[in-house]
Amino acid sequence: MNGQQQEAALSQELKRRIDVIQSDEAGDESHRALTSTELWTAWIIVFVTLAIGLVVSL
Amino acid sequence: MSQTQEAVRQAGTFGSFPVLKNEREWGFADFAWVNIGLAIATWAFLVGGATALFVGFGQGIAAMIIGNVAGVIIMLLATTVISSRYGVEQYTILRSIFGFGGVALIFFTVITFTEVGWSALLGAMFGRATAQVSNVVFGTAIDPNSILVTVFALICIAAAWALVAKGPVSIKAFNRIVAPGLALVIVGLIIYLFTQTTWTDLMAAAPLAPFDDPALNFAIAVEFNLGVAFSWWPIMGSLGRLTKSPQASLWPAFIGLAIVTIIAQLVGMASALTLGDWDPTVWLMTAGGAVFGVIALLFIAFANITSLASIVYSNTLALRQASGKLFATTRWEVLAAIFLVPAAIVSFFPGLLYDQFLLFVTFSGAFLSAVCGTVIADYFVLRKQRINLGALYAPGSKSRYHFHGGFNLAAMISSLAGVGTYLWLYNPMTLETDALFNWTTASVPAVAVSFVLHLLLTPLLNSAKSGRGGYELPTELESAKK
Repeated sequence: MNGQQQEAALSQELKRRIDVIQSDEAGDESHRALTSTELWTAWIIVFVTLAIGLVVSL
Repeated sequence: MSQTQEAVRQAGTFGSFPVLKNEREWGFADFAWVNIGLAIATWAFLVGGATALFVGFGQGIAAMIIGNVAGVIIMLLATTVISSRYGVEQYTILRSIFGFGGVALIFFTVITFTEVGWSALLGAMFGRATAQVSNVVFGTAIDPNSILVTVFALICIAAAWALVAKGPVSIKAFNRIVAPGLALVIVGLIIYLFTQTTWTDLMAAAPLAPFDDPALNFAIAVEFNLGVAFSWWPIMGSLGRLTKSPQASLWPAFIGLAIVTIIAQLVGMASALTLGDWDPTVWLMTAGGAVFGVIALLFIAFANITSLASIVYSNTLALRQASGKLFATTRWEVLAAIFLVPAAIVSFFPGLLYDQFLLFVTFSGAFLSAVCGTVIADYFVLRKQRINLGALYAPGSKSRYHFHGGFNLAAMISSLAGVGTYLWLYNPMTLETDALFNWTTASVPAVAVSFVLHLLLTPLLNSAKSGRGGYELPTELESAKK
């Protein structure tokens, strides 16, 4: 009985957490994705670094 | 607190449930210190010393910057950014990319191999640093491969376990003390090194054991540093979920794992080229005097514990979720101990760990770089940074992430193709290389091949009509908006 109760409580807790995160996501503040500017900044750093590597190896 | 209440309380931080914003421990500064604590362990000196085998100081700096900066950003995009957004540790997130079975397969092969190796190596490094303190302070003569080094390594492993048993709060507290101290030690080491040599001599120093082809030497040095950067992949997603936003996970980790790592590696490389030994723990006592030497050595020794604690935390979480029902109800402390048993066994062979370090790093890089390419293609391009949380946790075939019997064939094939590309360009076992390797390295093409192939294979193997993977289905969020 205790095991079943625990499983039910955990299942309920998981559902609660998913609901909270998704409502935050809908508000797009607390859990927002990286913006395209941030993403491009990251990729530009990668490509510039690799290009420098190519130049050094030449 | 009842057993049920306790199980619910532990389900977030110690389990694979999503962590809510108010439970997240790490802001920008906290996560930066955690990563600095990770970066400045003895392994950074070892990597610097290994880089000096192939290239001199100038090319070594270039190789370290290229390998660490490019590799760390790619690795972070495939880990912390995703985990931080949803508060979910990375091996649960990976179900949406590789399927439930695929994640278990990756964890129990590549990840276990990599993480047991790193854990044992950190233990051995702690052991050797402690033996060095004993040799100088107490006049002992402990050999670097002695059984006493293994005993010290086991103490390090036990200390990391004790730290992790209390959870990420203790890791944060420990790092707040150790990481700033380590930063000061690194500055002290750099100052000392420059009192022993000049910039001109350092730049003129020849590599220690290069191949005949200078282009090949540089490419191997870059590849090695890329491998080091990718080797953070197994742990970063689990740490990233405790950060307060994707921004607080990406840039602090970049500062710690790329920038600070490079500085620490430079110390190893400079000391290898000028003093003949990459390991500052060997010359620190004579160079810095007994008091500074012991304090610095203790900080370096403890740094290995902080690094190991982060590895153990992440992999204990991973072990719980990748093992299905087997460890679902096992106590957190017991699970952490189970993860550490193989590492403890491997630490009985400290010499082997050091001798095979280059092979170990590049071989794990072959797999991890390919996995990163697949993950980035899936999350950023195919899913546009949206994952269905409910499907991540739905059981077996009830989940849209069940794919083909628990395996996403598109992701598995593309990752294997990436690994194949790597091994074709550079075979870490035989050191054979293709001519292209000198210009492209092996990790970068591995990322590119797995990235492109996953984009091509997904519509073929997981078509919208099949519903597999839920690529064309709206997330709960989109459904809610409609």
